[in-house]
Amino acid sequence: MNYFLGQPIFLYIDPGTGSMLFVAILGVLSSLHFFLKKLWMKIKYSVGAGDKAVDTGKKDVVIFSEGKQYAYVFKDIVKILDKKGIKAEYWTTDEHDEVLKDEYENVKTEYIGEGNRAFVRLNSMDAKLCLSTTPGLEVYQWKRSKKVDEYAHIFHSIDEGLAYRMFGIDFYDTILGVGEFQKDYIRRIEEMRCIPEKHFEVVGCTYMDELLARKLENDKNAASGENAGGPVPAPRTILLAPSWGESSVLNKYGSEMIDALVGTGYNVIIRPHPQSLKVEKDMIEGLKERYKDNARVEWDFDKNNYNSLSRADVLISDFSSVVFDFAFIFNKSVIYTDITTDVSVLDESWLEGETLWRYKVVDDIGTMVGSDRLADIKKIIDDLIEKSDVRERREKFKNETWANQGSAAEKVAEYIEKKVKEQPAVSAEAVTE
Amino acid sequence: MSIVYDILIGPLELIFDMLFTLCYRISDNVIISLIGLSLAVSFATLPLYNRAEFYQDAERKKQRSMKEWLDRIHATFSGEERYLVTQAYYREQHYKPIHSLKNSLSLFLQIPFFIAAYNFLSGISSFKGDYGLFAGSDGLLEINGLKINILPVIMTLINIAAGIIYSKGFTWKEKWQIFVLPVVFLVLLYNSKAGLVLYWTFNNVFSLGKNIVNKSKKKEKIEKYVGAAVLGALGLVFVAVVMETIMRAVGFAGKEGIVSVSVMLSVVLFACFILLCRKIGAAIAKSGAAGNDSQTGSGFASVLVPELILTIFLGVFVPSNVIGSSATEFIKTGMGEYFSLTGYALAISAGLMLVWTNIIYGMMTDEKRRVLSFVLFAVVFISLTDYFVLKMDYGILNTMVQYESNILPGFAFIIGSLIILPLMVALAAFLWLRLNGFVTVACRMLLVALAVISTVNIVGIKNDIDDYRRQVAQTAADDKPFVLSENGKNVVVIMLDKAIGACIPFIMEEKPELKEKYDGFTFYPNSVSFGGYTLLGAPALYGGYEYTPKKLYDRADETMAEKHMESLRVMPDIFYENGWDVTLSDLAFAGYTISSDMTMFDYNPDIKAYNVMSGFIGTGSNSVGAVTQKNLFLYGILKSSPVYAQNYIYDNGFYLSMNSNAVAELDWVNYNYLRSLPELTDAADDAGDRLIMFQNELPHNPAILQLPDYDMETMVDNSDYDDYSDRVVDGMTMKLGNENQIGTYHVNMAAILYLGDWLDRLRELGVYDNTRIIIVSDHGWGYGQFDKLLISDELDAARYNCLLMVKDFDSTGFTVSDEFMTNADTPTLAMEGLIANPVNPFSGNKIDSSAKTEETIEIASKRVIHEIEGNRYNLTDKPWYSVRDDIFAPENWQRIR
Repeated sequence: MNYFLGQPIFLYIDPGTGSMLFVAILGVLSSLHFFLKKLWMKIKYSVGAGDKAVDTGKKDVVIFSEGKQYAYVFKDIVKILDKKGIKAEYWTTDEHDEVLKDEYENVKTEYIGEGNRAFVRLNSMDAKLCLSTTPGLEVYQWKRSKKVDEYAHIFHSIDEGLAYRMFGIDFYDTILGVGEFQKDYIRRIEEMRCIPEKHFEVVGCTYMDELLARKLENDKNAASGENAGGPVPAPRTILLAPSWGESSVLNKYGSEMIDALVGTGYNVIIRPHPQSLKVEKDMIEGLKERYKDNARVEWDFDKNNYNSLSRADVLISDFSSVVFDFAFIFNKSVIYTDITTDVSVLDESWLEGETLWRYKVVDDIGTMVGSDRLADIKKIIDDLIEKSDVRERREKFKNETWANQGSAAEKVAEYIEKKVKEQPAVSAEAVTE
Repeated sequence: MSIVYDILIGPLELIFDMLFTLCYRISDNVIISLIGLSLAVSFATLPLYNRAEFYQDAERKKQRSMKEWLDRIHATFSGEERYLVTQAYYREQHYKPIHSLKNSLSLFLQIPFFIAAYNFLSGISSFKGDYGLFAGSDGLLEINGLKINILPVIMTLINIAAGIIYSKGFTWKEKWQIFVLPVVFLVLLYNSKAGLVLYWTFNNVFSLGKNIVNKSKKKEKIEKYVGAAVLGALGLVFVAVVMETIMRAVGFAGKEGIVSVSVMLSVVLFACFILLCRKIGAAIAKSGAAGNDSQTGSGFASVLVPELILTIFLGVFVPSNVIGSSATEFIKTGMGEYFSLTGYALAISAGLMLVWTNIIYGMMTDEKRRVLSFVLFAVVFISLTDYFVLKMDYGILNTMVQYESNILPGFAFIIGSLIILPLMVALAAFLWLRLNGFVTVACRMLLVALAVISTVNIVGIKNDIDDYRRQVAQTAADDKPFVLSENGKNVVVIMLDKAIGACIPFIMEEKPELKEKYDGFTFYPNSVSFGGYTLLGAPALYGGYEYTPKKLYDRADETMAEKHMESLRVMPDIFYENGWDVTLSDLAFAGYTISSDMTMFDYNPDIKAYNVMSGFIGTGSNSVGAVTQKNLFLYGILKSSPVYAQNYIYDNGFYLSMNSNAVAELDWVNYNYLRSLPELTDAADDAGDRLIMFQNELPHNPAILQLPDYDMETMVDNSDYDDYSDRVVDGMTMKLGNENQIGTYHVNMAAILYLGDWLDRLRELGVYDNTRIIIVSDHGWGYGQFDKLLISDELDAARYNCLLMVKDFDSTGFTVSDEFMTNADTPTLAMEGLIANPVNPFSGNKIDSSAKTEETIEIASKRVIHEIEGNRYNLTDKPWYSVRDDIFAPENWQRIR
């Protein structure tokens, strides 16, 4: 019963308005709920930020890196921009970021702090263009700044672009892709979600370029150094580099897989995912204990995977993007384990039931092995290493997939240069209101 | 809160009131009126409802389209991330949780309609038989002494039936709400007034019908028929209004020919009008040449300008003109400041124009917006033409914004206005379509002009208020202004404005104990006044036979003001010159102002001249003045309506309102004044002689008072005393058939009752026997209430049957004298035996009542306001009567002009 001016008011409700009233009441309640949550988050996210964190002064470009592991994505881009004389800023939330160590003439590098402080800065960014690898823009704490004309996303690995948590790149204006194959996936998701098309430009993969450069450098050193007589004849080395979680190789096959590999007589390097060390410590410890006396089993907990990758002849992994690093940089074969991973939180869950690109291309870079083929693992490995058609197929696939090999940073810098020179950059149609 | 209510709900409540009253006036049946109201409101809100349905459908579709992924997000994510991801999804889908609210906007728009209906219907008072519907719940069924209300049950059943049809094809989840609600509302409404439940039942019947039509395959065909029926009903109402107005104007007996030709004419005109509107509507919808910012476009400015014009016109301009014509009289209603009087009119106009019209505008397509823009322009054009050009003169207004009698335009004006309306619409369309540049400029100039004139009016009113305050401060009375001599002689002349002599026998019959209080009084039923208004009747009352309307008319070289003020001075000056102490208060039109400017007696500092009444300003209930405020707005509507509709809209002063029997502040002031009279009165232990003259206006405005003690209350409930049958005393019948008749009897009774209490006070002070008291009125009023005074079809002599009761020194008993008296006898009665050979100090003529027998008693019935400012009344075009010897004998009356 409502009261109006002290008198009870009974509202007459007819059937249509009745259900409308329910919609209205639900609307009020959910609006209130969302409003309070929003308020709470605003309070929560502003604690400790301080006023000085707010960004001022229009910049041409800001590159944002959320951690030192992404330094190699941006390093060359920064260098080229600096050379081109483009006034850029490099912001990182990791004080150990390698890029901070170098001196630039035109590029200003800055550690912007962490947590709320960093987000206040980011969310108030004033720039024509912002380049980042960080997904979840506008979904999580990082919100689009009204003072940024264009947000451009760049990948730090090779996949369809759907491996991020849901809506990962939807709020970017531009996607700087690795190769044309990504475009179709991005467009289909856009269509399913009824969101405007993002600008898609193929630039290649700076991360792969960096790895490749390192590989070439190492190869050169090896050729001129003590090992200059050619490859060391050693027993073959298998790198087992799983992801983590319930459906990862170690959880699903565990000792059964390791036993089979040990049975080949080859060296086995096991490189658990860093996250496993945190959440699956008991399982890892159990396995370490089991193989502690086996000289052929080696555990690699180094943060950098380069050494293990370069030493291995074959990589066994579930669907981590490291398989493409290995196949494309080290030109070696990959064994996928037959595992169904839970992708429900990822963008790719929207294409549920569909075979994604990375599964379609298994045969181009290696083979798939399930528990039924573990017994033949030695033969499978030998075939992959020895057969020349495998190598050719892989090479062909690499060239089709990975555009602008070795020159991605140049392409990105060109794109940025073009954009910042455009008179006042008009924000690409974004998904935001 | 109140202003928000006035703006949002006020206009709707007012429209409900007018619609219901219109239905009631036509049908004289509450149930038919409820059906009419329900239909009118349901049809009016139908577009809103359809819009709501559209939005609700869109919301349902949106929810359904998002449901799959919302469910998955809900299942996959948890905690804060679930919220963040959900929000991101909403953002992508351009959806906000608040949208379900926005989509229910139309529902929220409907709520004010329901509040307005509720407040209006529950405000209908229940003093008449068929208003019993509003006395309480129906209690139709009685089982073992337990009363069961049947109407809410019927309402619920209909509601459920409507729900069954509406929800065809819905999922059960969507259905259950539809069936739970009627049950909930059965519980909530169960004990409501039967009238309310009946109204909602009719709404549900409409809803049921609408749902049947919506689900029907012949929907479009049915809608066409319904449209035609609605048009037909509107036509019938139109014809009914015209017919009744014409019958009132020309009478029916012997005029059947004129009436039937007029009815046929109105039918033809209505048909032409509808065809014309359709043609214009089509032309305007198609036209789109003009830019959107022009007056003839569909942009917001095209509606805003006429909306502002009408808001200022109805909310400020007209009220300020009305108040400005006699600001001080309105100030006496107690609402000291200008805006407290006109705030309501402004709120209603703003609500109607700037809120509701714009809500409708917001929901329209461009094409319809253009039509709306034209309609508003046409309303401005016609209203202002009616107000400024085709205006009728109906006389003067009182502070309740009512004329002193019902308004009735002549037959020629009615027919003329009928014909002229379609022409004006056509002209408006021509201007709009062909001269859009002119229309745009003219509208904007009009807006500015109205705003400027209104401002000037308000400033003028403010100055008048300030002047009045100064004057009141000057004439403020002592604690006990009326002091009577204990040992000398006292003469008290009390003028009770508009008191009717014919009421007295019925009052004494109902309360015989009054005869004891009025011990020593002689009541003169056979009394007559010389005019139907204070300005016509009061001068003779104060000054005697030299101040009758005819005598005043004959003195062509002096202003009415001079002659009126002279009459007020006759008794005070004579008594003063004869050594009497003189106390005066609130003499009628003192200073020739409606607020009684007693500073006119400043020429003699020994005369105590007060405005005792002003001390009671603001002592009324807070809710009074509501009628004045409401009528200030409705007066604007009245005066800007076509002449043929004005009699109907004016509705004998009720302005098509069921709830306007409220008590005006001025009545509270007079009521409190009269009740306080004993406390205002004292006695002096001296031997001086004293004359006291004052006025009270309690009997002026009919008001229903709380029985059995005739107390003035804001909410009157006389359901325990509702005997409104005719009463007969001494062969005369008094009718109590309508609010005016009942209210007239009540206020006369109250005045006599409270003066009775004051007589007791005189006894208590020991000054009763040495005091001569004359209770007299300036005129009566004709509500067709007393059969013996209904002289002819056009003459109700009650209007001139002034009250006259006289108590002389040391007299006893309550007696009735059939002697033929006039209120011009008052000075003679007052001076008899006290002043030897009284002579009018202004004319030098002897003061006596010889003119009563030697000359013709010439009675003026009406006067026109603009003539009172000059020297003379208009003798020619109004009825004047003469009467002699016995006012109850029709043959003694004669129309002389």
